[in-house]
Amino acid sequence: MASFGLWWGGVGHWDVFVAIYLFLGGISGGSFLVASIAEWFGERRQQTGYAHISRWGWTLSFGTIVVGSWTLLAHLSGPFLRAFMFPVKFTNWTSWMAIGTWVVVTFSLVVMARMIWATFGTAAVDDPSGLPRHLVDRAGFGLTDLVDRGADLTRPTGVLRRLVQVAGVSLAVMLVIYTALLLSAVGWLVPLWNQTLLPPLFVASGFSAGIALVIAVTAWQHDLDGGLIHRFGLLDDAVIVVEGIVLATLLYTLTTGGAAAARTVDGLTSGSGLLLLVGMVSAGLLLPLAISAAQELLGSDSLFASRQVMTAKFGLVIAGSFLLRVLLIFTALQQPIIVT
Amino acid sequence: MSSDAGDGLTRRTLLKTGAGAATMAALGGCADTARQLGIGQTDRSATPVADANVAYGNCWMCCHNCAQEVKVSDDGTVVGITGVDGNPRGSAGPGTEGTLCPKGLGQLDKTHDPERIKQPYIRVDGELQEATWDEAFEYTAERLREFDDEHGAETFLDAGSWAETPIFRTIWRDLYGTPERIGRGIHVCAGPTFVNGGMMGVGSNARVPDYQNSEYLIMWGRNPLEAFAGQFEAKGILKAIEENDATLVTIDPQYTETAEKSDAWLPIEPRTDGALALAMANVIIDEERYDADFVENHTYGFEAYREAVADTTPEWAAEITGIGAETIRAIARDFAEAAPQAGISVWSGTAQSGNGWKATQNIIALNGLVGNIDRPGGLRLWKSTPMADPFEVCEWTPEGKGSGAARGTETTIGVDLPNNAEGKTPAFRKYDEYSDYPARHITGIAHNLVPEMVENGHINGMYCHHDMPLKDGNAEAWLTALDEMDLVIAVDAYWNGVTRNADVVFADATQLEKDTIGTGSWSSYSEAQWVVGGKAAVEPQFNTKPDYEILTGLAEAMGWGEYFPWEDHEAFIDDQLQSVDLTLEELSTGEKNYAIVGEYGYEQWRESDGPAFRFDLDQVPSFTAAAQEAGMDTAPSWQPPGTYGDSLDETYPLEFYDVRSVYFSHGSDQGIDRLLEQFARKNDLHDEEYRGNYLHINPVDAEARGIEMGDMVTVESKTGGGELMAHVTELIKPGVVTSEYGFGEGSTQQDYEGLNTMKLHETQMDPITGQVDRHIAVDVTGGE
Amino acid sequence: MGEQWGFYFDSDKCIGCHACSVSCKQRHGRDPEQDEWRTVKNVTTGEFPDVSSLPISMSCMHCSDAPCEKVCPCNSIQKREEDGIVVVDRDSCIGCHYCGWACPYGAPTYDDGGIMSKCNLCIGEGPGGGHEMPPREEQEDGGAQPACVDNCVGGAIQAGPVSELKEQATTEAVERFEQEPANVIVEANRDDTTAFPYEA
Repeated sequence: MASFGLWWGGVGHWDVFVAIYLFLGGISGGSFLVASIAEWFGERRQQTGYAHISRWGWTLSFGTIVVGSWTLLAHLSGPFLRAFMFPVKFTNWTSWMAIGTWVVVTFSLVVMARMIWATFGTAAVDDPSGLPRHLVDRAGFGLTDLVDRGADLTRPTGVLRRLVQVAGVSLAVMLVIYTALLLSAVGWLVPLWNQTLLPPLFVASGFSAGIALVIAVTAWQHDLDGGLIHRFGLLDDAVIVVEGIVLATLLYTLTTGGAAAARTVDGLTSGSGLLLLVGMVSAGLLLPLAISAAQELLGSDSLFASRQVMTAKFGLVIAGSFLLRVLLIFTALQQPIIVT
Repeated sequence: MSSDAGDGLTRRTLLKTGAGAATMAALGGCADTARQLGIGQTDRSATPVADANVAYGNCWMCCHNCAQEVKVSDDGTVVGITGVDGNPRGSAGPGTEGTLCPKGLGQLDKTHDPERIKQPYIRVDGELQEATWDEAFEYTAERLREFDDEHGAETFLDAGSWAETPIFRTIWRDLYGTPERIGRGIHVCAGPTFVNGGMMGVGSNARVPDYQNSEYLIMWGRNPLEAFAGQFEAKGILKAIEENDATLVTIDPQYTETAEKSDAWLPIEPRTDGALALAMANVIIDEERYDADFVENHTYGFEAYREAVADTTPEWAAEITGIGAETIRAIARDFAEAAPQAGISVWSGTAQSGNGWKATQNIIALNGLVGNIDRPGGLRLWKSTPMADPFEVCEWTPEGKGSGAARGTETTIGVDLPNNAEGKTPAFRKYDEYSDYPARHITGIAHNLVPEMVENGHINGMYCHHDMPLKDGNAEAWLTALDEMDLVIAVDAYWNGVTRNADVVFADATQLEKDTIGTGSWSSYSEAQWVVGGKAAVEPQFNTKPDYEILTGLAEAMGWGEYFPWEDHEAFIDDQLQSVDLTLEELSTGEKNYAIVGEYGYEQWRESDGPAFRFDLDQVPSFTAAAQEAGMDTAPSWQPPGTYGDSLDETYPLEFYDVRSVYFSHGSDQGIDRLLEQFARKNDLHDEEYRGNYLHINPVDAEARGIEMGDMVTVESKTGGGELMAHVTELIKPGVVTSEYGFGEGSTQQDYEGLNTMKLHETQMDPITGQVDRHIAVDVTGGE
Repeated sequence: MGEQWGFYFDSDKCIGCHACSVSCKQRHGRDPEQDEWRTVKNVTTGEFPDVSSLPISMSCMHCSDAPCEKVCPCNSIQKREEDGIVVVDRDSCIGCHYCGWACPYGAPTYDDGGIMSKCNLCIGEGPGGGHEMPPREEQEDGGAQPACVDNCVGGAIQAGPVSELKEQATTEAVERFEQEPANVIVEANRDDTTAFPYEA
């Protein structure tokens, strides 16, 4: 009888550190976008809230990408120091890992600059959003003075400033997209890492998590105008809806794919895969939208408008974004070899 | 199981330490940092194997002498191993590639294995203690003298098995004077096949047909693509398929690699092979497809045979065997049609059951029926290479050996060996206690009865040399017997249930550490005789000795030094090789280490008078006596499972028997990590820590017991049981469970992981030869 | 560009013995429990008694369009001009495992110090062997016979310049080969029916 068998290869070449890194990369890019949006609107409207949001945005974006870079190094199995040779060694431009590493490096520099320009020198503030300067102060060594002067000397204006804004936003988007392309570059072999759908999914997820993180932190540190929170909240909801549609499409394409796609679906609908999926969808998509809906319906005086609920909602979004990366790393499968 | 990696098992110290250092996070030292950063060069140009010195050997992992080419580095480490092109056992014939199977490759690991027995041990005050060789020899000589005084030398059992020199027989039989001997072939391997074959006229050649010239091959209860006795079997079968378009048929309750390459696989009900054979004969005789000329002119007993199969139709057999009648018919017809270029291979699968005698007789009879006896492609009467008897041909100067003896000048030929076992009868035939066993007419001992003999004081001691009797039958009783025996002398390379319980342990050097020769009969050269050999490729490792030196050292201590005038094993071997006009040096120098030393044609039976083949064994007195006592016909006939041995019932509804794999042979290789690893991979269970044997069980039986792949399960018979890991597979008949032998308690596997399959066994046996019946009624429990 | 080297695998002759896996590990000095550069697996299908269990031996295929080479950020993996063998420079590999995801055949392994190692068609010995070695030579010119070829009991594996391998392959196998990126010619000549002409 003519029959064929399947030789399933190994799975799980990457660990949780990669998932964490992808999450932090996404949230870092998203935070940067939020900071940029706040900066844009802050120029046009007179609300101090926007300035706070911008500053927190740059700071959180910088913090998450720094931590992210370390988790990226943590997953490497080679000799510890060798990864630092990357400026010399990462020369394969057909590899998203090489391209992406440079994006991370450049982006980190830009976000660090934006953060410094926004919190040092003439831009220095006393409120919590001036955290970077407070930390440098605490470190001592007269660094604060040094950075203040440096910031004032190098802060761009005019056309240069516009260029930096545009470049920054581009890099932020590229950062998130590259984390998706890293996976989808082998999407021909791993059906879960769909080449068309993964980039928009990551951008939406990263952006939404970025909004959640920045707004939540800013709202806790300052008395942010409710309307401002509300507007960003709506933006978040819109992004979440897009994310949901893309994810649904991705899952649907899996059900009509080949052997590996079918087995991935099996993995997603049973055991720990199912738990991850349900967790991710609930935390990242359904519950936040439900809470928003409740807030809309019940008005701004209700319980749902409280700061705690807002924080809970944004916390769920962030958790969902992380769970999405975990899901994508741990339930991914390579195509089997078909043996006839 | 992770062994002490790198401790003598790998020789890549250069690369290993380089990589190891590089993974350390510590930043100590410039060299480390450079390596970490990847600036230091990994040495890629070193080619230890390619640059090493070449040496040769004959593989002794399964003891069937495929030729080996070994690469030895200057410091005496074996770094590479492979086969020798064109060699008789390990290639497909002249001009073909020589290879080594996983076992042969494992010889590399075995040579330097730190888990080996590294020096002699003697038992003092109940404990095994390290000893020097001299101490061990003296101690043993003393114990042997005491043993003779107290029990009589004739109660000492020679259980030497895979020794690489025949002189142990000289020592125990001719010199020490014991008639007690338990060998492999009849007693634990395939007694029915060998003895039947001998009586029917074909010797033990029913095992290995003339593969390469065959057009139709039936592997009956055999799996020669995995459990081969020399790679030439697997290669020969594949060659017959490719070049002769041969049809391959496998008859086996399990779907093996041989079944996979077969044109037909008959998943027969275990122990019903005899019925299938009778049905085939029924068709062949009924449809007059047999070789009338051969049958009428060169056989005896055809009428009895014809009568015996008159009613054994395929329909009758179909009900018993579970094989369709039309299939039986088709195979019988095609086999007869292809004959004489048609062959059947039978060995332990059909022999190791209670009704194995009749099964093998019925099957072997088919060969005579179709007239393939010693014809190309059929049942070849392989001729082994005659070796000279060194005790007869050696040229030496008496009194020129030994310490302090006066040197004579007169040379003489031969050694005047005493025959101290003469006139002594083995216990099996001597005492009334065993008068119920028909096998005493056929053979001098039965494996299963040794424990009883120990209890009766008929056997009080044993010499065990490269063997593992605890895997061969009634393990529990044997363990007790080992304890009870007064003197156990063991020669072995690994710790196991025998060596751990011995009074003397002589640390054996392994194959590549000795001068050796090997020969045999069957090979990939259908018409040639051969010999293979090699000088020691490396020094004896640790503080071990080649067995020739162990035995001559012992002989010396017993005062028998005068009977061993050879300077060393090479001199002894050179005397053996006199028959083929070679020396070991000549044999093992050059591009290869084997020689084709003679030729012989087919139809050798034409050279002698009398029938070439017997269907009916009523003219063989020893058999007729045994058969009568056992209640058996002398002609082929049907004996259902359970006639002797176990029947399945409600308490024990599954049929268990043990099997072989390509990774292990006999009982000595189960301790080698590399082979255990591959065995685990073959069973898809290498991700588990467990490295024992597996219980192969069909999903139907597994699900009924809540058992899943990888579960630890318990197998029990009415005699005993044990635990092992389940391998749930569709490749086995429901109702049947199997496991590889040589594991579990008392085995060479260091952790005793797995089941000693013979813990399930009591004394079930074939009544004619005493061959252990390994088909046991069991049940399996242990799933969730 | 020199002559592309590849493998030839005849599944009719593979008996699933794993001698190739063992021989490979021994040639390159790797411990028994380490991951395999050449793996044998039985692909089993069906339900008793309609079963099949085909053994397959696989290693790096030295693909013409090697996905591993494309994704390695450090350019540690290179398909050599001289003989088409895909080798890894273990001095620059950082152990990111990207090649593991990219390889359809599971060829990369990482347990030689966390750095990638794999089949190098025996142009060198050991995990580092291969990179920067001279062009692969055939056995008659002094090149080492690949370990897996050397000890394949069934004679199922061959290796050499692809043009030579094509000469001994069947037409179907060559056709199949030319459609695949992998440099292995696979024979699968078995007739489709197992129980012909015998019905069980």
